[in-house]
Amino acid sequence: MITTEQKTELEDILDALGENLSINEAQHEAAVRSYKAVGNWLTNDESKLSPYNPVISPQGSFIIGTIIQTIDPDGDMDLDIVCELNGKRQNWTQKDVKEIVGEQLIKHKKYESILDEEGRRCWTLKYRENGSPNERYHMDILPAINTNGHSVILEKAYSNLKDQNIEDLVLSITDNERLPEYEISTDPSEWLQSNPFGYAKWFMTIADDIKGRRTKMFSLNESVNPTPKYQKDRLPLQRAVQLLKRHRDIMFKDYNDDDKKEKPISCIITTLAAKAYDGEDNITDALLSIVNNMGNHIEEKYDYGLNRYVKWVSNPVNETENFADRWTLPGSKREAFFNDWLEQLKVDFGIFQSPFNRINLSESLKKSFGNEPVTKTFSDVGNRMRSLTEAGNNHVDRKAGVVGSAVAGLTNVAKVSAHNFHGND
Amino acid sequence: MIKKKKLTLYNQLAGLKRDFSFGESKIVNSKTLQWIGTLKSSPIGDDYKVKLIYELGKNPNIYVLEPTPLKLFEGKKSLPHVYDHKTQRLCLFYPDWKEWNSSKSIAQTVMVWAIEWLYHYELWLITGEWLGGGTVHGETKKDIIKNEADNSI
Repeated sequence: MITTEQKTELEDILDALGENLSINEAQHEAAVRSYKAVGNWLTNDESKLSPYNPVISPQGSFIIGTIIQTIDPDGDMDLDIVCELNGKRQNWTQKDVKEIVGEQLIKHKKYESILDEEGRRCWTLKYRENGSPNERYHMDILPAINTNGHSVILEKAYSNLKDQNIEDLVLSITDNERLPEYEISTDPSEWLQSNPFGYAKWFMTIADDIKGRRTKMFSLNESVNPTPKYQKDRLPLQRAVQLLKRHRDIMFKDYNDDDKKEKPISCIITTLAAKAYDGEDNITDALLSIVNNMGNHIEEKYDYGLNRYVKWVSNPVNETENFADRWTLPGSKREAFFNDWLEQLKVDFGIFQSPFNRINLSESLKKSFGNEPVTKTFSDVGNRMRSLTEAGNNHVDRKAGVVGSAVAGLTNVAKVSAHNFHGND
Repeated sequence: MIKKKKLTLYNQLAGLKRDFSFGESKIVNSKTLQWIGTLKSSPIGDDYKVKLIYELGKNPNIYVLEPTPLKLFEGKKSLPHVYDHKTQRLCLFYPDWKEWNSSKSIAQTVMVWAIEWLYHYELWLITGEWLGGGTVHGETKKDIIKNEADNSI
């Protein structure tokens, strides 16, 4: 077992590490600028969409605060965007909606040049702005329609997502693999339903329900604001998900390209983590609880098509959707890879439960999360301690060592007075 | 201005016995104070056997007795902020700037700084950078620039 003081110190390290894995403020600003520009283009007066006041807003990890940097220096971040139409022309099919959004993108010279092949539900823009690492991402644009005529995100989510019924946040989306409906159905209530904002609300309600001491804040309302401010702090569940996702990226980085595509997907990790999280007020306990329990939230359901039981990870806002549906595909390695990953997590996070010191912690973290962010994390922590000493706010517990400004409950504490490491004979 | 009173060896001994009772403090040869004990860098850090020697009229010195030799960051040839690699005597303050004088309690200053040195030493082992701040021996402007270049990995 580790002591309270050790846990406090570990928390500072894991929090700083999570911060180093997150997108930074410049990347956040660049992403917001880009999707606002897309939004302005899709809404302009000459667009066929303009009567339906499209609202462009981010969804997914960007709004629930779990987005992380890619490990590949040439890699692209994923930025998931909803293009929400307030109604549509009555005779428009799914295909019409999808193509009208696509046509409007193509009319813009730049967007045309970065538009990827058509996706199943999305259009993807591949940003490679001036080779700047801040502006390299895949922007997945999901055309969607709300059936009640009011923008879900502007009228409901933004005003106060917490007070909304999850069902009121449902959107209708297109799916070009659902034939023939894709080409003939004009009634959005028959289309595939998706609830990205309901999901965000579900996740944030759990992340926000902390039993114990709350030290950090994160506002979902702020993050779904059309121009969200950068939020640096994260709640323990958000940090835990960031660390889990990075652990996965590192574990699968040397797998061959085909196998890499079958690594555990972020949406399964995020959902199972939230289901396993039990309100822990610190990242260490949150991680341990998640790693030990997330496997229990994979259900088994009978699939009548396959005539057998299959693994099931329910979408929490649509129980009929299985996030693990691809685990049953012929030759799929996904289930095995998920189990391998979970076993590795238990081994790698086992360090928190056994006696460890700073050096072997740093080595273990480097192995799990990569050299560069871990080294940067320890530098950040050291610089912070020096600043505390310079400001007259650093302390030692004479027996336990440097403790920073967190001295509550300690009885053998001395302030570190100003000095410079030097001297002569 | 009131000049602060110098502390006697016995005043300093009392301070160490009060604050660092878990080590062994004593006066040797009637003019030298010695403390030997274990200091920890931080809650998740390591233990180090440390010796303090304070001879009246001189500056107090702190040595790391164990482990010896202290490990180095891979690729570095010397420890940061020590006077002597063999004795592992730590550079904890800058005497010319009067950060320490005989009116100051050793228990409240040098001993605390030694703990802080151990902490930054461990971070140096991980990052290769000395993050504790301070000055450099025989420092000139050129040295500072060179030192910063050495430390940036």
